[in-house]
Amino acid sequence: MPTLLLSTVGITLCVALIGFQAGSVTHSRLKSPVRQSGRATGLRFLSWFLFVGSFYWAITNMGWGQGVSFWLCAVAVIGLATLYIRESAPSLYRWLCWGAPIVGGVICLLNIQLMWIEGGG
Amino acid sequence: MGGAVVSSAMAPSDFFILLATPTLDPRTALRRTFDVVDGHFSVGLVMDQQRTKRVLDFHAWAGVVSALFIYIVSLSGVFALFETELLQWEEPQVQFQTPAQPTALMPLVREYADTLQATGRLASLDVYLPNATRPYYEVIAYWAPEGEQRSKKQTRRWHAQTGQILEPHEDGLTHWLVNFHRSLMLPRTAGRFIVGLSGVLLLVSILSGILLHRKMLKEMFTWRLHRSVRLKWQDSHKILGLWSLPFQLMIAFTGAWLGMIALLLPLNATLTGKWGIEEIYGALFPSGPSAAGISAPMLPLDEVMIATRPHLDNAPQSISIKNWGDQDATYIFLYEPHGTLDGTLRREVNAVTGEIYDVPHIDRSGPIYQVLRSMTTLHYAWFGGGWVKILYTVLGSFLCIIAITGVLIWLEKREHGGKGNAPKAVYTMLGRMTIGTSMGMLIASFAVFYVDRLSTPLPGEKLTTIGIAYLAIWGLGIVFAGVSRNPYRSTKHLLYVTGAVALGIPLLSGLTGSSLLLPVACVDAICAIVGLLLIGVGVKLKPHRA
Repeated sequence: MPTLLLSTVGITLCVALIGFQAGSVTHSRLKSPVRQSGRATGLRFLSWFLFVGSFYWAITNMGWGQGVSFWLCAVAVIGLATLYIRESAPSLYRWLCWGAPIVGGVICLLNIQLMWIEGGG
Repeated sequence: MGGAVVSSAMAPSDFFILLATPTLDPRTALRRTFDVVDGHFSVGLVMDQQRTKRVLDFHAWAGVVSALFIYIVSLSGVFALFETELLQWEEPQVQFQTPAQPTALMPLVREYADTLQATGRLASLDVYLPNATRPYYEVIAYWAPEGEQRSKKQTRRWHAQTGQILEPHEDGLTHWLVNFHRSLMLPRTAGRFIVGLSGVLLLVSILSGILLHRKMLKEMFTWRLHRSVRLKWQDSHKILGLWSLPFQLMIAFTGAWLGMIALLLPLNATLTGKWGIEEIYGALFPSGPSAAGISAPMLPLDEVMIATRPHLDNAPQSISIKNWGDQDATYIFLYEPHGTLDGTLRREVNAVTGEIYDVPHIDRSGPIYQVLRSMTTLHYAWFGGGWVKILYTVLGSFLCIIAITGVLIWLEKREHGGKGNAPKAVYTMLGRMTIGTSMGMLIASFAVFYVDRLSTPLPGEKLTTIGIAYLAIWGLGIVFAGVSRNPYRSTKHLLYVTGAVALGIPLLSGLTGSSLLLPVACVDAICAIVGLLLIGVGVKLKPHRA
């Protein structure tokens, strides 16, 4: 199931990068969704966790050479895509902030089920 | 620093005054370096500013000089990524499903090898097994006719289901698009060297760009799309470059390596005398043991293939056959890179006894071969399947945008920012040429799909027809942008035309009888998506300078 696996890495990265971006709104038209410093720290912590997690997932399933290459490319494309949405369509971005973690959770669950229960992945 | 220090000598107390200056960022002040010259502190502040300006000037000039060249190589590279898919799109006779149970391979290869051996010397055979984008058997034979020393390349293909011989493929669309990237359609070594040079230029631009940007983290999240034209271009140039920096570095380095290695290694060998050219080629392209000269029957290829499968739990991609019909004949099964980038996964079997060699006769485990293979795998995205190709396509397109926005920022600063000494008309014309060159090449790249499908050139003339059409359409794009008075409006028009041409490719494909196979449908879908995106950008673009 490489498609499901790679989409898991992609979605995990997407959630992590949205977390980083939400905490670093400077010149954007979008108001930062995180105003309390405690929440911002929590969000940053979670983003780092997912960021490292997606990297780990990529290298364990694709090997070091392929995993690192794929992960770096994915970071660039997903990071820029989410950033572009943040700047050009803030309302869509707000939906993405809510939607991506939910979709990510569902895909993660599907993937975990495949890998651990059915032995796929 | 040393003798390069510019500022005048300074008393030690001035150093603290400088640090305490409110307008100066303390972190910046602490970064300054100080030299003691004759008991005085010489401050590197002025030096820093001058150095930054020098690096900026260098980055700007290096970028402007090489940007269009980098753009041309990058854009053609995006098309070259889809070589196998384009090959199938181009040739309706090979648009069929890969059969679940392909016909036996051995009778086909044996008949072909025997025919070649009867009329000359057969050096080796490379057999490509059917897959989704090449649903046929293909054999490339290196064969020298009787009385000749130099081997020639001979190709034959069979339908994987029926075993029927397929018509030979005539180079056309794919060959043009792929080889324009690899060698600009120039003679192989010179062409590759020139293309490799673009990798070196890109590396220089990237490294000078890195030196310029000290607040990378902040810049990574700043994209002011609703401000002035120059700010929008500057932010886009920076942000695209920063996020895709590892990819850009990798593609520049591997591109430079692949392009220049063919010329630099022999040159290095000649200059240093450490390695001869033969040793280098021997390390890069090992040929294995020579034939014993004693005839022996070959084991059926299909059976040996099944026997070796449990050793690797994978189907091979291709088989290299050495010393056909000889006692020392070898089958070398080659597999896709799996988990690694070097692609050295292979299994050697004696083609007469069936013995699997634990220690391969042809050693490709050396660092030179592994590095070379990794470079190719990385550069052409030969790993990770379609996902990685899509990522490479997007990142390659970003590289094109970075190159063009770099030139546009440079021109904008001169045309509207009071920089530069040349008359304004020169910068205006340069801007038009940049738009014409970049957009013209994009239109030409999509337009040749139509030329390939709709034209009926004489046999052997297909590639020439494609090439002439490509260059003519590209030239027309440059002329159109050159004569248009409003570059913003002409860019809009060119975007619409390119979008429409790309969007029409699936229609062309359907009307000319293409099948709905996945690789063919992928080419059509990608063209349609790119077409819609280009039209969307055209709609959003303002027809004047905002």
